[in-house]
Amino acid sequence: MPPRLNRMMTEKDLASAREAIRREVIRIARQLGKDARGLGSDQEIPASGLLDSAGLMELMTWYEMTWDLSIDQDDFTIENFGTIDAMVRYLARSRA
Amino acid sequence: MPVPVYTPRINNNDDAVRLAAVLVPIGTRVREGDPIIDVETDKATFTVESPTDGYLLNVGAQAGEMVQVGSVLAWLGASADETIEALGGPANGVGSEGGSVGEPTLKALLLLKQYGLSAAEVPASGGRLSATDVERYHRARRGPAREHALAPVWTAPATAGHVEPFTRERRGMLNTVTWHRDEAAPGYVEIPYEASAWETYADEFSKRHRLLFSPLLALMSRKLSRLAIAKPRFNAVASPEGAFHYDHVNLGFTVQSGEDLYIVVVRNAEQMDELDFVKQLGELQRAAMKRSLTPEQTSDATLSFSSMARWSVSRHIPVLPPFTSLIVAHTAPVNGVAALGATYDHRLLTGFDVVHFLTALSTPAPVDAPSVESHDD
Repeated sequence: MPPRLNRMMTEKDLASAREAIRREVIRIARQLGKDARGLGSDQEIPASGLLDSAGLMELMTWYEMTWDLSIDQDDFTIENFGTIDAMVRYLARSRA
Repeated sequence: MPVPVYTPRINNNDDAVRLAAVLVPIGTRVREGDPIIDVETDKATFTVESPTDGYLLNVGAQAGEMVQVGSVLAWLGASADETIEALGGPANGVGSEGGSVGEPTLKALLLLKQYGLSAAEVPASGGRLSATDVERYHRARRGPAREHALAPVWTAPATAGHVEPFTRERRGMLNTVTWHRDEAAPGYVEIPYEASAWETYADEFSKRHRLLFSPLLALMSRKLSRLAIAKPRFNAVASPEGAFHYDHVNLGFTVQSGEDLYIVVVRNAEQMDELDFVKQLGELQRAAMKRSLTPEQTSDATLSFSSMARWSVSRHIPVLPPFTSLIVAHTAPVNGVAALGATYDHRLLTGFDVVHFLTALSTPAPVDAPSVESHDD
């Protein structure tokens, strides 16, 4: 479980978050019979076909609860959460 | 002056209790604290005690009937032949069959009071206004009754074991399945359709609005709600008096969250444009995954949509949620062709009706129904 931080995140924190997100993507994809281990951090997850819509929602629910965020529905865009890197950037902005 | 005995609340979640037994005959003298009536829910039994010394004049329900919490359960009087004028109607002796034309019977009076009705607004079917008249009028106003037994009476087997209490979610599923078994006459039909038209439409919609989550199922559900406005028979439920047409479309949508299954409900779905609907349903799905749904967000669906496409299911026959006549079943395409099915209440709809309805749903073509504003306009 990555640390819950209420302060600006360091590079080390962000690297830890990136790995945690990747593990969660792989876990959810495995439930759907998909192998996401080769997913690139800058690869669009919806376009990859590894997670369906409900799987993405499960991922985002985990993301919110892990870092104690409450994300507005309008923020769920490809720009903000389409890739693992984008999710890490959003996290960094939320802690800035 | 007669004294009312009110129906107690036994459990926080039960707004009605079942009258289990009347413990003393009508006309019996009782003392304050004497047990007079047993009421129960599925979880507990409670003995109602007399709040004062007096005579039991009347009990407003029969054993086995459901009684609303807070309503008058019984009346006590200073004498066995005291009349009950406190209800606002003419005095009747307990058990009296007399009375003038149009005058409510005693039980009808109790029901009028319970439902907040006046005798003048309820038509009498015979010489006197009866409890049946009041019940029929009340049902027609509020829609079908919402109470029904969750499960038949069960006796533990002789073999050793223990009961694991149902969770809220499992109890909801039991309630749904029991309604389907006891109250509907379910049928099922399905049609094949080319999935590409909807997939292309959803893909373009998603790109246009830069959505993270695929809007495919939400857009199909939203069209279902629009079709229900154009064809109100599909947004209805059978009642003893006829088809009860709902004024609004409350779109039920099944969400699997871990081991639990929810039906989240988008209320007044017919008033939303596509983007509003997609966002509203998305919020409900996320609330389900966080286990933070409110009772209002999981109740009063008027028709529903269920998809098992994510598990590559090519056919499933969903159970009709309570007080609905249609639930659409969406499946995974195989070689570009998917099945669109529906479980329906055959008391209101025929297979012919449903096939035409599903055919209309199988493409994203707009529905000829009262329009709403669109974000894209």
